[in-house]
Amino acid sequence: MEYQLNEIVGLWISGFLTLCVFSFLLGDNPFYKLAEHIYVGVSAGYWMCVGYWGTIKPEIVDPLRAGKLLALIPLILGIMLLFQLSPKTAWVARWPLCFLVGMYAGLQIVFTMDSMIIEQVSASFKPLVAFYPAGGVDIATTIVNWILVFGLLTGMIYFYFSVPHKGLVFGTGARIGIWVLMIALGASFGYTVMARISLLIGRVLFFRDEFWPMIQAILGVG
Amino acid sequence: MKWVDKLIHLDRRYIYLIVLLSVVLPLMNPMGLPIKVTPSVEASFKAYEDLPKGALVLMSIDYGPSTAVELEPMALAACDQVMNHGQKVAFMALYPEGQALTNRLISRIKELHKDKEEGVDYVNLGYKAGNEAVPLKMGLDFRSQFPTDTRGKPLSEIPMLRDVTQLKQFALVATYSAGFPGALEHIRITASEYGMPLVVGTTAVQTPQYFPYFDSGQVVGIIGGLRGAAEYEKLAGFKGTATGGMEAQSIAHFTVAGLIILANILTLLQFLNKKGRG
Repeated sequence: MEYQLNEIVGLWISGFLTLCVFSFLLGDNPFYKLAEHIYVGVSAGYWMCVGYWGTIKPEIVDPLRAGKLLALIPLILGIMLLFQLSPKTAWVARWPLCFLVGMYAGLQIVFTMDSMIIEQVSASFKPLVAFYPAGGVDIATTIVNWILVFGLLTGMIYFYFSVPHKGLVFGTGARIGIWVLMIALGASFGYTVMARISLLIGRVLFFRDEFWPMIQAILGVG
Repeated sequence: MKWVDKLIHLDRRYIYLIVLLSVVLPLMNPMGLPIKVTPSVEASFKAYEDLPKGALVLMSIDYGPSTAVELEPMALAACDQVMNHGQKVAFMALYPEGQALTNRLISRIKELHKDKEEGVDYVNLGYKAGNEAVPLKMGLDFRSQFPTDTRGKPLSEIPMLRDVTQLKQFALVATYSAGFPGALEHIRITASEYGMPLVVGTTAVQTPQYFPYFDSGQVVGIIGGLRGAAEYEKLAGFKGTATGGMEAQSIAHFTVAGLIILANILTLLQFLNKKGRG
């Protein structure tokens, strides 16, 4: 495979910066700092471009050019947000912030209530004895449903702080609830380990599948 | 027991080296470990598989370079499946870096399916700012959110989207999501509000968060992390990077679990030793 000069330079920069970041495992050092600063600078530049081309141009510049004066409202609200840069004029920024909070809350309340509370609550009403469509008790589903309902109730008891966690219902229930939460957190931690290892695998695959073949092509081996 | 104290205070860089070797060695010497397909991934695969020829799929590419290693293989396997079945895919992004990552996916589609044409079989609609407001408005008037593709071509001139004015004209929506905005916005609006069938591909960190939505039937399938991607590649018969990566993942998990068990045993021995002396 033949490589263009820009591909070779790109792969070298990518490989060098990866090693710079990994060098932090040996301790803080100038190479890590270099990679960190480049990352912050490039990210800031990227987000500025995305902000302009993704929001300001299509939502404000283009409509204003087309004579749609309604676009002046977000423009003015956006400019008002910048007033919080000075403590003396920070109060001006409260108005657009109020608008943002109100609009976002309005959007969230309706859809969050529907999708994350009502539908989830209705989905937790499971039959405690499940049957196959053809007839007969589905033992596996029955056990799973019991675990789900039991875990849900004990977990909720643990987070119910209006009565002391004492006695059979609230005391034992809350203690079992802690175990349920621990198991859930353990599963979540397992997935987190998987995600972090995946990132390492991604960089190793980069060296194996992209960087090393480029070196081989340059050296004319392999 | 000096050796116990020595091991407990072992320089952590040895641990890094052990974990690195547990990842590198399986990648250099694949062993062909078996991959068992889970029901949520199978349901995702079936959601694509059951679509008729010519059906429109809307794929939301909501990840950046940092999570591409987990999400790109599953998105690519799904794209390959869509192209093989003669379906059509429109890409969009709620995530700002999604547009650039979509271009990478499209370049792979072009390599794998030379007979497929842009605008006829696939199209990149690009990134749209606005989080949940985007799917909300897509359901009311699709073209108000995406009047053109990323090349500036109006939707009315793109053959595969010529007649599309509503979100419900798509047969399936899929989001490959690394976080906010992404899967939750599509679950709340696209799936729950508009009742669209939704496949969620997500990073391993977020996977447990989305399982309740699969259990409740709000999403038709979940593909979680590199493992989910490897399962999907197996079902789709696609040779991607996830399958090879899963071997390294499995060995690394054994290593991490082993180290956790070892550290606990050492701490217990240290405790018993101190108690014995006390």
